[in-house]
Amino acid sequence: MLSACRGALRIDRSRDFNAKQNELAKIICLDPDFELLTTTGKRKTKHHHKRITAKEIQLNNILFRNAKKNHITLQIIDTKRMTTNDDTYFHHLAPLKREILQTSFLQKFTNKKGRTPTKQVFNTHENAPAIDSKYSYLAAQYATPYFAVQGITIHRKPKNGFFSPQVDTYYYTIIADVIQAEIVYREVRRVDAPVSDANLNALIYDSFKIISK
Amino acid sequence: MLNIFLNKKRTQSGLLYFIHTVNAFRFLVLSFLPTALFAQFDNNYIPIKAKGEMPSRFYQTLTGETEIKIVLEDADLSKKRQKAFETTTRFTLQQIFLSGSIYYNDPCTPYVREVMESLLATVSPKPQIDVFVSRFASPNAAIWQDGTLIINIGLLARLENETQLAFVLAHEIGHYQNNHPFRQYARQNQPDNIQKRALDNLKASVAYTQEKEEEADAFALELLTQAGYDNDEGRKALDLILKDFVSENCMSHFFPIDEADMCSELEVQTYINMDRRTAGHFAPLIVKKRQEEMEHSAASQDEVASKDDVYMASPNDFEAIRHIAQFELIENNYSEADYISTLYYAMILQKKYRDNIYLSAKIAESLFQLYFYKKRGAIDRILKVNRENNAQKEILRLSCFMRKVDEDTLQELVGTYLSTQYKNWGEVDETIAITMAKYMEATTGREEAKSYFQHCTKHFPQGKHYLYAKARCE
Repeated sequence: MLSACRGALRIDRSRDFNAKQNELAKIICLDPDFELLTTTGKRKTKHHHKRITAKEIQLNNILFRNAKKNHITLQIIDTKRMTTNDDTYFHHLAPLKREILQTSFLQKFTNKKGRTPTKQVFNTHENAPAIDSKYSYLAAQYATPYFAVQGITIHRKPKNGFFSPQVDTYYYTIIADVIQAEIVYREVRRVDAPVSDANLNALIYDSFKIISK
Repeated sequence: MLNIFLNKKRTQSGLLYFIHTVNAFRFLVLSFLPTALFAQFDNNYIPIKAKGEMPSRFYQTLTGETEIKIVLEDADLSKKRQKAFETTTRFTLQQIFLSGSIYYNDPCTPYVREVMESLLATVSPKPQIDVFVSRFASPNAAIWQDGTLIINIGLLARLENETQLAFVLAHEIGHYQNNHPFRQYARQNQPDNIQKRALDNLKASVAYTQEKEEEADAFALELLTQAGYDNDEGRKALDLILKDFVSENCMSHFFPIDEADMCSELEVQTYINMDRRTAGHFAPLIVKKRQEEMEHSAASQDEVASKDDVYMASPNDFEAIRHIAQFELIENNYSEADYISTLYYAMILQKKYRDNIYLSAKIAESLFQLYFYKKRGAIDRILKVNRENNAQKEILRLSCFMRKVDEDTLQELVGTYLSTQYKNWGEVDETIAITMAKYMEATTGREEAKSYFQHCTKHFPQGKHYLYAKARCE
């Protein structure tokens, strides 16, 4: 019970994000991921990734429902529904998803002292991480400049003595504005426990609430 | 020309004779097209895009419908673990395919498949192997137990002829025929090894042991002989993986780099040695034979096989593919945020294609990105990305320079290059125009850069950057 209360929340916003919130009515969500990451080995250096398709379908529903509750239209691009003649994803969206993740990695979360924050932090950035402006044409195609990379990662760590394996749950959202060519919002939530569907629902509702208000 | 192929000293079955005759006919047709093949790179290059219908095998991999065949008499894994192996293989391949890193309906894949077919024609029973070319920049190839073989564009760009490509493919067929992906997985999942049991990620399962690499090498050399390729040329493939496709310093005229710029932290030689060790692990038999050859005769290192022995198809075919691969390598290095490598390879190709706008644009973009990250104090992260991708001396020297150079000097350097390109191509190429506008915004402010953004909206109303430029004008 105690462990369920522990965690961290980091939000990183561009300087003009508050002004943009009014026009944030539609977001294109690029193929949400539900991943299980297992760390093993004495030095905790071996990692095993696994994508859980069934959970992804569930996550899509939760994301869609909670976005709607917060008056946001979330269009989810689901690769599981892809057809043989669907080249849109590989031509336009897969490179954008890679670009967003890469840019986010290159300009990581830091506080004023240049350290990575560990607890609840709300940062406002003068210089938001910049993505390539060549994706701005997508705004006309999808009728919104906002594209998001969202997902859940469950991290299982090895047993520590008599205790059962430690499990952390991460929920992340990165929203890019392709017209301004920058990442306007980044959020990572960590819960130091496995989360139930009900908890996940609350977590995602809270996230969309912050984005939309 | 036909005799070149028919007079080869090869033991040919009826099928092989047919293949060679068809190849000879293709050579005749293509020999009239060399000018057209290379002229396309003189002025510009358009990167390959995903278009058209997805190939059925591509779609099957995405949906996890491919069959994973494991034929092993000594398989000591339980059904549960075999299932786990299949799951791991499928997930990894799905992730790679979904990332948009695999080409389809492109010019490179059919060529590589053709070379693969010429090799498989001599293997009985013929294995079901499907070849794909990936956008990854590292010089590598890998095969999975379901018969999916992925060769990186970074490797295609480095190889010198068809035989070397055939060797790489034959080596991977060797892994597949000997069930190495599965055997390796089984080895790491022995029940008595608790630590290794959980280590079932794919990266570990394809990091083969030395004896498996030797087995694949031996198989590859035998297959090359059977298919009529020159064995010695095949061995050279490994040397090429270790060096640049042009081993010369092409940057000293542009960047004031000298040995004093070397960063002790990067330890260039250490990285180069590390890469050689990796290569030694990749193909130990070849490395050993190559070392023996070099000891016996220094001249043998530079021995160039005659063109008759290294191509089954046309040299023009291979050269065209190689050039596309070199341009694609630049494009993919850039999209992987490896701006140093982009800069380096673009400068090398620019020596050959002086008026190529695409190369000028890529150099301009990379320089701007390096300046941008330098200004934001994140250059170390960029260099870290580069360090993981490369072990080449010239690239490391350039990394050291970028790390040490102060912001003002870099700004001047980038500004001078961009101004020249903007003057020449600013009304023709959108990338150069928008990069100049971004540079002006970064150095002088948004108000001063407005005229440059307006220039973009005026000249490129259908461009990809149009909406971005328009927003910057407001």
